[in-house]
Amino acid sequence: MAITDAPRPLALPTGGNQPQPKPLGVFTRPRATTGWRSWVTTVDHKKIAKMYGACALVFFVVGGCEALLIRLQLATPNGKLLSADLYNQVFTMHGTTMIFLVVMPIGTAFMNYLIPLQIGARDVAFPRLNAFGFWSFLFGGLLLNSSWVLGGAPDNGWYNYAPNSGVVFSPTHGIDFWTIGLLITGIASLTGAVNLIVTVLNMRAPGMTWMKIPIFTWMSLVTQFMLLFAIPVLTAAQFLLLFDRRFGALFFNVPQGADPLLWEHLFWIFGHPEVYIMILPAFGAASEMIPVFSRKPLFGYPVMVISGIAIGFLGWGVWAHHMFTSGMGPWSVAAFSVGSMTIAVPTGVKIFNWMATMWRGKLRFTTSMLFSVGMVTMFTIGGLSGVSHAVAPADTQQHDTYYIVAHFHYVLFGGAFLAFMGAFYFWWPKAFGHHLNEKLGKVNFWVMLVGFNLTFGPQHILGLQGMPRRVYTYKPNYGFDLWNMVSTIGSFILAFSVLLFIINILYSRVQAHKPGAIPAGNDPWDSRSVEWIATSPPPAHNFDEVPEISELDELWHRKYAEDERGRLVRVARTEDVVDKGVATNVHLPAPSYWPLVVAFGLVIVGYGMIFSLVMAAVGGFILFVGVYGWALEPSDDEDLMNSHGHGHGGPSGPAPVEPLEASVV
Amino acid sequence: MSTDLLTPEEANAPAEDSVHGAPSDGTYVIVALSLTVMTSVEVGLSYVHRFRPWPLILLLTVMVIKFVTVALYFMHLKFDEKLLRRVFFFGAFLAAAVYSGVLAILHFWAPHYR
Amino acid sequence: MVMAARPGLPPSNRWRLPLSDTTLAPEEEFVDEDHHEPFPGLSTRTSTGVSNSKLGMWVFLGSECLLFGALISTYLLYEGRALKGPTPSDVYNIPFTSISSFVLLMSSLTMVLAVSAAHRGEDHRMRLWLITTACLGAAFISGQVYEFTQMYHEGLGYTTNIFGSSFYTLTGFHGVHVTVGIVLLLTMVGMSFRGKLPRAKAEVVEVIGLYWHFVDVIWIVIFTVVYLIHK
Repeated sequence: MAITDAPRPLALPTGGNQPQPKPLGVFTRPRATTGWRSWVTTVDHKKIAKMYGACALVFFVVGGCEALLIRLQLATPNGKLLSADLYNQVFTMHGTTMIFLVVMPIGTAFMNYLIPLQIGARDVAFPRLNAFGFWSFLFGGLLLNSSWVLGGAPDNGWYNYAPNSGVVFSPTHGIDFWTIGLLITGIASLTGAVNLIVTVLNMRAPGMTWMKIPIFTWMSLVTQFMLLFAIPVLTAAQFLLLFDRRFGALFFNVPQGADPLLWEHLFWIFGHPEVYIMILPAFGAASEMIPVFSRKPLFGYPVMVISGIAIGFLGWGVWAHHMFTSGMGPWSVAAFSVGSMTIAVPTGVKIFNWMATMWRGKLRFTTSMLFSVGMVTMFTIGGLSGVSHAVAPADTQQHDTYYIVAHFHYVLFGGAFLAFMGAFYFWWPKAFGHHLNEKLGKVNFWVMLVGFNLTFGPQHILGLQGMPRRVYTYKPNYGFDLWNMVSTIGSFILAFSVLLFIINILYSRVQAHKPGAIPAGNDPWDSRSVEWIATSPPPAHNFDEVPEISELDELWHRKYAEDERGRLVRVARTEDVVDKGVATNVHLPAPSYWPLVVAFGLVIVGYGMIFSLVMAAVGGFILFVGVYGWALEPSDDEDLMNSHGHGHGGPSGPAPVEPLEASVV
Repeated sequence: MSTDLLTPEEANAPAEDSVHGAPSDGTYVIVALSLTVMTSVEVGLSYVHRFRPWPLILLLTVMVIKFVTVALYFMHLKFDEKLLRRVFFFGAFLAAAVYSGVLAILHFWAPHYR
Repeated sequence: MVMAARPGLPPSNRWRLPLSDTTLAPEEEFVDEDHHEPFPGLSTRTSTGVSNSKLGMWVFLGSECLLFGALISTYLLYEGRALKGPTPSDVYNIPFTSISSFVLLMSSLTMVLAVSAAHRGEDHRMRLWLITTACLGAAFISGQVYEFTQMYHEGLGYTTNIFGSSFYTLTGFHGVHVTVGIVLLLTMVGMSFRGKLPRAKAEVVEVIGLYWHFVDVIWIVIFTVVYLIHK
């Protein structure tokens, strides 16, 4: 947007000597660009993503401590560390935390950070909604964890089956904290899905057609569609449970005629797409890293896209494979068994494509590459045990044993988390301007790999030997002793590797601030996709000029071409094809308090539903005011808009220049 | 845009918003009337007790027609980009498929223990 | 620089200019290749040609299908399984509900007339139709409240049996959605009176209209499978 006035500074306006407008007579528009206020009112997707990532890592430590407690309790038979009741709470919170407060938010962090950068946009479609999503996630997670000190944590497993979740069998408030905390984080996921879907569909740089979208963004788009359709199912189930517990409804009251399987069906219709929601962004990240460190394009990009879509699609048809032993009858079991085997196909295709990408490539085993290859191998192991679960008769033995625990930790930790670790090391220079230390990173990887395999490998054996899940202890002389001890030792090695990661973060930051430290630069890895064009870190407005896209792996093709013999030839220096970060006069959406206010109102309603309906009403009032404040606040700073002296006046008032979003959201 | 005088046909045609390609108010009223008729048919069919389940199947068909009519005309899907149609109907089909699946499992294929 | 048609862009996209390009003058940003006046209000140039808020609303409505689907199927599962207390045929008043369904259907008509008026810049008429829509919605809700009160007096409470729980939850969720819709409609009327809803922002009315029609469409399903087809 060219300006006829004198150029204004890049940062959001500080107001100058013009009177600040007061939209509602109460709050002025926040203006801070630095300090804690800038974080609390930010609508910048990059800052929001960093907050998601940081909070997720804190929750990871919390969930990890819960895991260590479990392993300590199970290290020896007749463990005395945790009572049965406390053990139930610990394993429930471990699962709930890791899934909803760690893996999903880390995925969200990467998706939020990278999607606008990868499609050449300046922000997401609805920046304030983005901020609201983050605050809802944080407050929901805090509400859930506050259960520890408010009467007891939920203790019925992360899947919380009914009727055990009713007031008769779970009289404490723990289940209510689970229900309401996840309802709130669910709202975060749903609004995030709407936001990112509209962003990817609508805000791509010119020339970026469907098959030129970077693979991470593609997998993220499929993930967001899955979230969009899966979260409401969980929401419905949780409302039914909440109404049973709070208002005496009879949805899960079997003596009154309720179906004992209703919860399981509704939950797993959400729950199965949920696991693909967790893994697809990780697959996307690996698909970005492996080509860069093989110096080869991703093998079979169209097939990778289509298999991702196929997984997104087929994932809806297999939910009842979590219910093979529930008594639903042989026809259903057979149908879902076949479906579950089918879904292994598009996943297997991806494994082969990654291997083919590496084949005859010029491999560089950086930390990111190590983690990515680690992900491919560990996920394959998890996938193989998964296929064995699909065989329903076999699953009848495996169900509710440690064999299942081994499976999902291999695919979730070995798959999703290892890929995300690689993604941290890969995109850290982009986000922070400096690398994470590579030597420390490699140690981090190997310790993590060893610790992980020592922890979960033996659990396959334990499961097949008959050790059930969710037991707080076991008797000696069942043959479980040795492998449980090995698993516990492994878990501490794993915990140590996480500590190494945190040390690496702090150490690298210190090193980067020393005089003489060399910044990472726009393109430290010699990468392929659009986000590396921006500076490291990118300015608030991302790109100096919105890039024009002519092919997939746009940046790569700006740097390299192939000669007549098909060999790679450098055609431009990196400095010449990347941004300098010098643009001015870029119009950006202004920061806002309202997303925080609305999220806060939501959590007060949440506590109110548990403790006092009066409190819920107060929360509802805050919510109401917050939503109105948000809706009536223009998406942009009016002061800035008015000062530009647009000639377009007329009945619409200030010129309708809103490059990034409509004025309501 | 053409500045020619309108032909009699064009002058008498229902007014169209040239930017949106939207139907005229008159069209909307006709759609509303047809929805009313369809609702009356539905109510009527619900009282028919002979030949069941056919009246009910017809009833459900009319319901689907009403659903699609509101979506295509009132919600403008007929005149908008196809993308919107695809997103919405995908959600609707997914819901129908998944929940029919659940009900089928719980009704038809569950072993009878009641 | 105004860009001419570029390869790779969808032909339906009239505005082929990048978002927030810092080198463009404001006058050049909105002019399409036929050099028409910029279309008032549509300042977002998007890859699909649909505005962000409209696409966002449709995406959201797609998710709502799954929410209501869950509640409807729970109802369908439970309507005939109550072990005691009133059954559907004991409490349903089809003629009454048919009338309130008709009222809601007509509110969709008035909604679409409001959108039409908004696009033509006829503020007064738009407000009239919006208020009418809100009134019809309120009439529907009143009908629901009356109906529920009658049913309660006939012995069907929320906790009486599983039919009661699922019926009231489903219709209650729908009613809350209608109520939120009424609040949105009246808010738009208020905004219009304060001059904040000019023709350039007609799309806001259209997007809220989509939400309203969706709520009507869900009722079309509920009316049929809950009231007309029951045990």
